[in-house]
Amino acid sequence: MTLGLHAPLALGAVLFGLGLYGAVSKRSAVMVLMSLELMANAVNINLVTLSRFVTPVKATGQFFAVFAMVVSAAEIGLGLALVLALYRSFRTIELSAMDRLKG
Amino acid sequence: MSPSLPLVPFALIAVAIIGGGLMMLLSRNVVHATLWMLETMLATAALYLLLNAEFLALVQIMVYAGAVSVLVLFVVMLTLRRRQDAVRSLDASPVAAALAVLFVAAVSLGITRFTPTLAPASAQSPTILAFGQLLFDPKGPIMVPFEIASLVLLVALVGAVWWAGGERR
Amino acid sequence: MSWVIAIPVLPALAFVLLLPLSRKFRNKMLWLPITGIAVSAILSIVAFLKVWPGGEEAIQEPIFHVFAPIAHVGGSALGAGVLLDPVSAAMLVVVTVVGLCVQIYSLSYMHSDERRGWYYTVLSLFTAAMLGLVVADNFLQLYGMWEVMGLCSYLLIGFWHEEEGPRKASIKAFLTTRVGDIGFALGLAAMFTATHSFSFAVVLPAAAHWAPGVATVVALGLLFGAMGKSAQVPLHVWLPDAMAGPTPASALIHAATMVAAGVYLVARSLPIFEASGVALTVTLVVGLTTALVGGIQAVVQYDIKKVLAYSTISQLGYMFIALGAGSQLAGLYHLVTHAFFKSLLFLGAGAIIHACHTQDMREMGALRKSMPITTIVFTVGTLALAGIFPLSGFWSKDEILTVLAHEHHYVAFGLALLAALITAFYCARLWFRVFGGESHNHHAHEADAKMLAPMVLLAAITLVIGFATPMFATFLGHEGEWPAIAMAASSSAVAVAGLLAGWWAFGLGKLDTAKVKAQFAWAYALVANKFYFDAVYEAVFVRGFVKIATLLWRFDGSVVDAVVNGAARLWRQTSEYAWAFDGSVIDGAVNGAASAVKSGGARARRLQTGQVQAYQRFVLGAAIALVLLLVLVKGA
Repeated sequence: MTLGLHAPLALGAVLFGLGLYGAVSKRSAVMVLMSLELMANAVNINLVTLSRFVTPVKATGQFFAVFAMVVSAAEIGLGLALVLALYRSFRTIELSAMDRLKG
Repeated sequence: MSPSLPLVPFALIAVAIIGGGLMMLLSRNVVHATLWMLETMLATAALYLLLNAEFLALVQIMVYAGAVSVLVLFVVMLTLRRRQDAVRSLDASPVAAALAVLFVAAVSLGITRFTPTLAPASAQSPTILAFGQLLFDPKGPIMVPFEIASLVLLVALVGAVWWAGGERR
Repeated sequence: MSWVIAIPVLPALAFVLLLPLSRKFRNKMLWLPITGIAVSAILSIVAFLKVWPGGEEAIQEPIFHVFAPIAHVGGSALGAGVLLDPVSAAMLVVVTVVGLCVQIYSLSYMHSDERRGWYYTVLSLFTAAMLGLVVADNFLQLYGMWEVMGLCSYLLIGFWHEEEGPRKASIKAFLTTRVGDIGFALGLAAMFTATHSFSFAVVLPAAAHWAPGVATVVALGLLFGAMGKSAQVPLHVWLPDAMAGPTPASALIHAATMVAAGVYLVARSLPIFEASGVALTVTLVVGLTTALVGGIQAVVQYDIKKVLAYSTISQLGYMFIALGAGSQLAGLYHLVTHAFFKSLLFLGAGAIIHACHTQDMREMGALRKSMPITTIVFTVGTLALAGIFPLSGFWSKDEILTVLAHEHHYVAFGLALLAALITAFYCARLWFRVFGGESHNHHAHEADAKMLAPMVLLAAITLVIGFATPMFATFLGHEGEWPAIAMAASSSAVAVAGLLAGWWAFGLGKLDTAKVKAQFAWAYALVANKFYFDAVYEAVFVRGFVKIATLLWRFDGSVVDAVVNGAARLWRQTSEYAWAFDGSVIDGAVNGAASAVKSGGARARRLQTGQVQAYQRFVLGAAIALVLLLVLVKGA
């Protein structure tokens, strides 16, 4: 059985969906950030798949994925630092407790 | 380049990835969840190898499996007051589930309609050496953005240090 | 000859100049009206002499006549004019001479009154109006001057308006004469309809050609007006009450001049009366009734001024008898003589009242001793009134009796003689009560020169004027002759009999008035209650009118006020509704809009949960929609 490009793409979609579910439903800030990582990974999977099947010579997708990883790493570092700062202020990392913006 | 992927490896890797993701979401223990995330990262690295992206596989392991997961563990440790707080509720949300399903459905629909022109069978992904040469080719379009990306990282790290550091500001 | 216009104008000028002055200043300016009327008197005498010897030609072709048109109505010119013919010339002299005497007399009589300035102002206006009336050449001007005199009478009767008596009397006089004036106005309207003119020169000759019915309507209308002004029964009720005014004013207007205006009017319009025939009879009957009623009333009065007032009513009745018999001469002659001797009597009464500080004759007596000159002049006037030879009253009364006999009005003749008897009787009664008997009053003193001089002048005129009877007759264009001996004898006998009866009753004190009152109680009651004229008028007209007025007042209160108040209430109600509407609907709308916004905002605010994941879900939903859009619409 040949698996073309659609298989990894579908895999990426499902992984993205899982990450999405976690980001939208988890109440712990750390869990949310981890879900975000899942989503970022799904995106990278998509990029690499497309690079391999559509532009393998120039490896465009791989380079794109490199940059995505850089940004993603910066983002997770910063996000976790923010979580620490939040913990210091609220003594908790429950997102439901962070309702200062409540109208 | 063969136009298709081998089935069994792919299936195994797929199970590992999806399973890891699911377990991450379904585990009550935060630490367990973090470890399941780690597993998902590793499986993804394996997938990269399957997709002829060796460099990316290595970077994935180094960055995600190595740094990010450890970082998350550290933060989990720092934000737990008591040991038993690690266990928490599942926070299941039907709304979120519905939205996620809808989204995946919409995207899947898009995928089914997605028919790009595939590269010829003879095209090959570059080796790591060739990848590096492409990356650091001064006349190429990637080197400068790559350097700038490292600056971005620097800024982010400084910011993270500032946010996370010090009891008193 | 145009200086004749100055005769009525000078007193008018005095009025205009006095009117705007302050009370104090006016009181110092009394020489002004006196000078004015003195000059008018002199001019009147000159004018009279110019017209002399008068006669038919002077009547047909007056030596002076001017007319100034003021308005034009339906082709006819209406305006004012000055006509100098024998009648007006004679009247001019009478009015100005009596007026001058009264004004000089008033200097003394009113010298302590604070408002004497105003008194002279009204007197001047009155004099101007009376003179304007006698020189009028058309009925409209006559009517206008008539009305002005009515006003002056009101002002003078009510001169002491601080007291209730004068106030009520002035209104009574004005309203009663007003009733007469309605008849006058209707007569004028009929006259204008018939001839489209008010001018004497047009109307009087034309009257001969009118249908008797038309002439009767006009004549009766004019007669009714004259009856009001000249206090004929039944419009005589105001004259006795008018005695509430100052005595010199009474002398001038209620004895000599204003009340004579009615006689003058009828005398001038005699051609119309003659064309009617019926009107003459009515005049005669009215005159007889008045002469008798007035005379009888005079007998039982103990206020000296009231005696003279009723006497005036009676004598005016005599003039109407004369006119009713168709004699302009007799009527006017008696008017002239009466003017002089009645004003003399009133001025004398004023001096007596001034001296005795009372008007009640029962408190007077033996004044012949303390006021000799007054006694003499008053006696002259009394004898003239009684009709004793050779005083003026004798001659004019005889003239009337002669006319009655000549026209074969024998019943009237008899009644007139009876009236003469009564006249003499009350004259004697007056004289003996005041001048005879014992004194009930100890500090009477003679009047001063300013009061005596006019009285002496009037007495002198009364003494001599009678001898000019035939000349007066020819002056007015009639046959001039002395009265027949038989006539003179019978009238004198009647007069002397009356005087003797009076002397017996009051001079000798032989009449027991209490016994008479008891014996003829019903007759006495009738007379004492003024033949119930006042009582009837009060019950029928006055109370009826008051009832109507009250009804109208109630109507105004309930209906009109109800409408007004109802409208006000409606308005208030409407405004309350508007306010409620504003409050509930408009404010409701405004507040409702505000609260809608607020509640909408409150509901919208619930979106701001502060929960990051809630926001994420919204974004996700939108993202799904976009993806679907991309996939389905645009293709992969």
